[in-house]
Amino acid sequence: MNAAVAVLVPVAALLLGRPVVRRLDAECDLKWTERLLAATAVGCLPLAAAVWVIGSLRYDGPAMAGVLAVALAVGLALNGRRPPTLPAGLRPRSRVETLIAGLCLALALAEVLTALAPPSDHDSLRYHLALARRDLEEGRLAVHYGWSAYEFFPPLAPLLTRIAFALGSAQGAQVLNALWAPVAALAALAVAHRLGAGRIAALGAAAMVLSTRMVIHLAGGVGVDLPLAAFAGTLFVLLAVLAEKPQPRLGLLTGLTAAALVNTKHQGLVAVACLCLPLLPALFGSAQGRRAALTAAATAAALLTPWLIRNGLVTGNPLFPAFHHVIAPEGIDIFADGVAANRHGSGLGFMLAVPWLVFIEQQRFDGLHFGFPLILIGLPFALPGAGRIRWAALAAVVLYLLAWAAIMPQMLRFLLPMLPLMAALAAVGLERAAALGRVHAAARLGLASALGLAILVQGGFLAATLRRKVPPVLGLESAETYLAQPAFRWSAHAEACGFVAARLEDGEHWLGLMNDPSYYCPQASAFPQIRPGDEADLYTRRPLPAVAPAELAEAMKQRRVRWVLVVNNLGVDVEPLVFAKHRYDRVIEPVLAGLAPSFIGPTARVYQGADVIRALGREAR
Amino acid sequence: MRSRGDRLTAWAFLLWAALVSMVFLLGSVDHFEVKLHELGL
Repeated sequence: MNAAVAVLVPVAALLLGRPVVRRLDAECDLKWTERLLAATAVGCLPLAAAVWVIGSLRYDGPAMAGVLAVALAVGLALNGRRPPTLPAGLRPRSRVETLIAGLCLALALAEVLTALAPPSDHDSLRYHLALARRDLEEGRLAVHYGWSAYEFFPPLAPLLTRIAFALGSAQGAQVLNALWAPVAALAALAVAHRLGAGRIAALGAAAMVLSTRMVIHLAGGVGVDLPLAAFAGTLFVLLAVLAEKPQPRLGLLTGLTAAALVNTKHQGLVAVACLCLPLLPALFGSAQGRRAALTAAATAAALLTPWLIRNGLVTGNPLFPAFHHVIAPEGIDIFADGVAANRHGSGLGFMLAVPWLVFIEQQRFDGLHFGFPLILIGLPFALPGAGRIRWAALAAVVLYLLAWAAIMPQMLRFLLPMLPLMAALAAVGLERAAALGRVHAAARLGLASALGLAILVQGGFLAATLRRKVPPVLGLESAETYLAQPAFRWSAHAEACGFVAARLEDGEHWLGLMNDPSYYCPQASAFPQIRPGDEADLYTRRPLPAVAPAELAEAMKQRRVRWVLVVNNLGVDVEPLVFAKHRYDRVIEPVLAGLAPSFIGPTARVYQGADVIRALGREAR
Repeated sequence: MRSRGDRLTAWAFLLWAALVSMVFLLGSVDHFEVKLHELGL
C-alpha cells in the first residue's frame, strides 16, 4: 500500500533531529518523550527545506523518493551505531496504564484508518490536496500569485505533505497528517508530566487529545492543525525546562522547535507569543536565562525568514495573506468575509465567557468541535497547589483564548495549539479528583460519571466517523457513492470533475465556474482565472478590469478549452477572495441558458467548451 | 484527604462535573438529532 510510505516522513525527521537534540541536550535535562518530540520537530526543518529546494527544480515521485531516501540515509549515518533505546519506564505498570495506553493505540490506529478513505475534507479538497495535485501535474513546486491565498501560508507542513502525496497519493498525505495526532497526544503526555501529573494522568491527557472530536475529524484529511498542536505542546515543555535550568544550548533547541511551530501556520506566531510570555520573567531573571531566551528568539526568527522573504518578494507582504490591508498599499482584508462569517461574539462579557462557550456551546461555532467537555470539568481542579509551570500553562491557554476571541476567526479548531496544554491541565485536575475519590464518594461519583459520559459521547462520534469512512477503505462502498453523500458532494464535485478528467486530451483545458477548487478536478489544465494584467490589481481595492465576451472567447479558443464546468450553487461563497474564481461568472453564466450540458450531475453540470465559445461570440456581436 | 477542605473539593468536583455535563448534553440534543438523521438512523 503506497500510503504506508508516509510513515517514513516522521521517521526521517526523527532520525535527522535526534543527533541535534543529543548535542543540544548534552546534560540530559529532557525526558525520553521530550527528546523524541523535540527531535521530530527539529528534524522537520531540514526535511522541509530539502523538499522546497529539490521540489522547486523537480517535483514528482522519483524526486521525492530521492529526498526521502537521502534524508533517511543521512539520518541513519548521523545516528551512527546508536539504535533507539527504549527506557525501562515505558512498560505499563498497572492494568489501568495498560488500558489507557491500549485505548490511545486503538484511537491512533482508527484515525490512521480513516485517513485511507477517499479525500472528503473541505479544506483538503480545496487547497491542501488541490495545490499538491497542481504542483505534481506541473512537475515543480511554485507559488502562483492570485491562484490561492492559501499557498502563501507558512510552508513547513505542506512541504512535508508534498513527499507523502508524490509517493503515496492523497491517502499518503492523509496518513501523514493522521500520524501527527499521536505526536500531539505524546506532547500532551509530556506536558502533563512537566505539570506534575502521574503516569496514569499523563496517559489520560494523551487519550483526551486523541479522542477529541476535531482531532478525529481532522486526522482523516490533510491539514496543518495537528502538527501545530504537536509543536506547540513540545515548545511548552522545552520552555518549562529552560525556565528551570536556563542554558543557551537548550535555548537553541527551543528556538528550533519554535521555528517548526511558526513555519506551520500563522496561528503559530500567536501560540509562540502566548507560550513564551508567562515564562519570560523566569527566563529574564538571570544572565544565562536571558542568553538562552535571546538565542531561542533569534533562531526562530532566522528560520522564519525564508518564508517571509518569499512572500515579500512575490506579494509585497511578508505575512501574506494575513494583514494585507495593513501592509500592502490599497490592500484589502482577504479574510474579512471569512472572519465576519466566523465572529460569534465580542466585548468583555464574551471574552469572560469564552472558556465556558467553547466547551458548552460548541454548536455556536464552526463545524469542528471538542465533543464532551472533559477538559472544562478537569481543568479548574488543577489549580490548587499549582507551581510556576502549571500557572504558566494556564496563563498561556488564557492568553491564547483571548487572542482567539479578539483577532482570529472564531473557529474551534484554531484552538488546537493549546489542546496539549488544556488536556494536560485537565488530566492533572482529574488526577486530583481521583485521589479525593479514594476517600470521598462524591469525587468518585463525579469522576466516574464524567469519564463514562466522555467515553460514550466521544466513542459515539468515533463510531459515526468509522461507519462513514471505513466502508470505502474496505472496498464495501465505491468512492463515487462515498463522495456523493450530502456532507461531501458540494466540496468534491467528484462526478463532474471525473467526467472532465476522463475526457481531456493533452493540451486541452477546462474552465470552472466554481465556488472553490476541487482536488478531484485536473489542476494544471484549468483555464486560468487570472487575466494578463490582473496582477497589479489583485487583492487591492481597485476592481479587476472587466472581461469582454469576445476577448474571453478568443482566449478560450487559444487554450483549447474543451469543457466548462458550472456548479449548481455558484455564488454561495463566504470566502470569495481566497482563490482565483468568479472571474468569468458574469460573462459566461448569461450565455449558458441556451446550451445543452453534456453532463448533468447532482452538484454541477458540464458544457462543451466549443458551444460556450460560440455563444460568447454571438454575445459579442 | 479527610480534611474539611478536601471534602468540600470533592463535592465541588461532583457538582461542577454534573453541571457541565448536564448543560452540555441538554444543549447537544438538537445537534445529536441532526447527526443521527445524517447517518440515516
